[in-house]
Amino acid sequence: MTTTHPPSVRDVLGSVRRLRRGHSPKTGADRFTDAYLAAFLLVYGIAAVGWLFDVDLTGASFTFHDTAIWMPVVLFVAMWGIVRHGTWQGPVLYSSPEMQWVVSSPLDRRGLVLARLVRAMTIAAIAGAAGGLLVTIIAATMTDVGIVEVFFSATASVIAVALTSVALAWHTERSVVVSTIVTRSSPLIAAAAALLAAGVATGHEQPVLWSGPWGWASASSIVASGGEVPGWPIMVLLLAALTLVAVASAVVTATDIPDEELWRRAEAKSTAAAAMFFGDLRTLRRVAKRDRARGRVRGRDRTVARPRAPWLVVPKWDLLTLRRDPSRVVTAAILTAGAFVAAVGATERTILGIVAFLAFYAASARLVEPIRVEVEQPEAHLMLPWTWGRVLALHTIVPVVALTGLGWIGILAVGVGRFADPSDLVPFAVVTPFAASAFVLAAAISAARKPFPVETLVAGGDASPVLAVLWFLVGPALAAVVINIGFGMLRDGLEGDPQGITSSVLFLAAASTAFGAWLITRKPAAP
Amino acid sequence: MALHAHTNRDRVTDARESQHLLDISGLGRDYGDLTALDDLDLTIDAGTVVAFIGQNGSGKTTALRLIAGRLEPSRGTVHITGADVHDPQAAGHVRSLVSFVPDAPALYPDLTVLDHLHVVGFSHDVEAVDERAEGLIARLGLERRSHSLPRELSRGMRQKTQLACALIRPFAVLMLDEPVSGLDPGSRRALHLLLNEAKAEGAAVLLSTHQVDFVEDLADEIVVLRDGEVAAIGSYADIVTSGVAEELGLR
Repeated sequence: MTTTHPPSVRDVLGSVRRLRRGHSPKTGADRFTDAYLAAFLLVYGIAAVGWLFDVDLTGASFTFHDTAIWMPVVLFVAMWGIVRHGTWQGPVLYSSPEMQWVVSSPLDRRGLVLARLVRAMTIAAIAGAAGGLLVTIIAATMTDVGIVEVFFSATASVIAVALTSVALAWHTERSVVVSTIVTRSSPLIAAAAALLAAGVATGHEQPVLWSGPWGWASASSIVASGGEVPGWPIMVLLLAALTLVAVASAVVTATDIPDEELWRRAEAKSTAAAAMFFGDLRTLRRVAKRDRARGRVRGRDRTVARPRAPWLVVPKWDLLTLRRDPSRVVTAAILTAGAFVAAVGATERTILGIVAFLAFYAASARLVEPIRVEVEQPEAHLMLPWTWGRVLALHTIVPVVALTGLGWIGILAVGVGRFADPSDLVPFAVVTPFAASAFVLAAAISAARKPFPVETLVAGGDASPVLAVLWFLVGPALAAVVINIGFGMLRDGLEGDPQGITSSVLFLAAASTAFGAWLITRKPAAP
Repeated sequence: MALHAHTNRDRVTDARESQHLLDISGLGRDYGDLTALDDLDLTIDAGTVVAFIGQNGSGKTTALRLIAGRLEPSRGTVHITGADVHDPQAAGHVRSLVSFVPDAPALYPDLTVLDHLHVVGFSHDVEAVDERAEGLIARLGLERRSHSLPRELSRGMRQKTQLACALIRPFAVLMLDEPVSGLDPGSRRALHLLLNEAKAEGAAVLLSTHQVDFVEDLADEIVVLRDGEVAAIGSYADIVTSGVAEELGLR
């Protein structure tokens, strides 16, 4: 009897790699193109870096310190992004075929996980080094200090943050509990990032001992470029210690992941790749936002109550689902608040007006989610007594009411805060329901289409990118035309035209009616 | 906007008393060069069950979709209580009479089983929706999953939810595309009983299946389809005697 040893993980993965290459061998022309591209990037990269080092911003009105204090915000957001990635993909990622043929085989699990973990950490270290180089370039253009010190401190600290992030992403990936915590704390983290950014913008934020790795990593770079950060050596030690502990704990726990999680991630990888290929942003978002607690939808014991008229069942149903998952309204409220902040400043800057418009439109688009559900399930409406188009129209009632309510709250806030003359706000409040209808119905017309037809990309030739952009612009463009005209009339009214406000209301109502009539004529995709 | 006809229940009641509820004449559908269904002639009275049987790809689903008005015919007509089901003007009339169950369950992802029954029931202005919903849930064995979302249900459970939705609303014609697939024996018996009750109450039931035994003591008429053409038509006994079902491997 002979004893055979299982092949090493390294050998198997190398063999798989060679097999893959064998399926699509590179020709001489391919190798030439690769070499040309590498040489091109190298030459122009060196030239660009050299040019950047020669740029002299030492006399600029803003200093390196002004720029470097943003480093904690950037690192915080990047770190969170990497950790959040661990909730649906993560550093240890195998494709479905690899799961089938490699991970399911009797190979050392620890070796398989470590192979991917080391690869992810190597990529993170390279990205960190690139980040350090970027900090060095910025410092070199603004200060006269030695760039070598800046380079080493910045590179080492950004690499440390990158490695820590990957290690934390691994812990997120391997643990359902951690992953749930990360997913659910995302809104809090976003708020923390906004607070951090606000602190920096108002000059109240400096790296301090309790800043966290993002702050500790910034301290040494600021010091190396001539700034002052009290206690920075301790911060460097803390960062080094944290990185060591994070990486060590990741390596130690390298076997600790259930197959189910690896399978789930392999499927997410292929779904995300297909969604990106087809330009299906909705599917991509759904895959990335996978909530581990999906089964725990609240308020199931409450159901739809009998409405006064049969058609009211659709708004009641939309309210029920909003109560169970209020994230749509919360997002719309945040976007509307942002739109009002931008709109208040828009009197002097056109760009803020555009930002306000886009935020209002995004809020509308978020609220018309039930219409996208109808598009995805075109046969479900057959249970109902109405045509598909009428069901879509009924699904716009709650979004219009919600956006109107949010609009009125915003106007009230603007009035209470004395950001505008209260007498000017009354006409805005009158127009709000009609403007909300126009926004929602424009978003609904866009949402009522099936996903962007990928064949258009294939068959469109040079015009494909333009067609794709136009496809996504239909909703915003419809809203932009109507809102621009409607608010132009309103502005005339505020400037003294006695018919201005009435014209604005009538125009927006007529446009909304036309949009609604169009929506009602829509038919579902053929089965 | 006349979102709901107040006379829906009256329409259904009238239709269930019709002698010729459905009149199908020369119905056919082509997909390019392929003829999915050809020359189907059938008259269906209220209170009868018609089963379309045949192998995969024989044209059963196409026939049901054409009769329900979900597909445009290449030729022929379908009239329900005299109204052309493919006439857009008659769409409301047809929808108020026809309850359709597709082969793949099409449910709303954010509604529970009970929510589905309430939404469908209220939208059709059904009286005593709660009681009817509870009754259907119990008879189809969905009690323990009545607060589940479709993604938490098995294929068979989703199928049963779809069936319950079709049965809770008033209808004169019930069409079911492969209703038995995915159902356990107990649920098959429950469905059998429910369809018999619908028939006894005067509804016409049209269903497609390749399980001949399911329609043995249910169908008044069996239409055997082969490559889009009617291979045989008659009672269960006629079909068995003719040997068509055995020839097609359906028995």
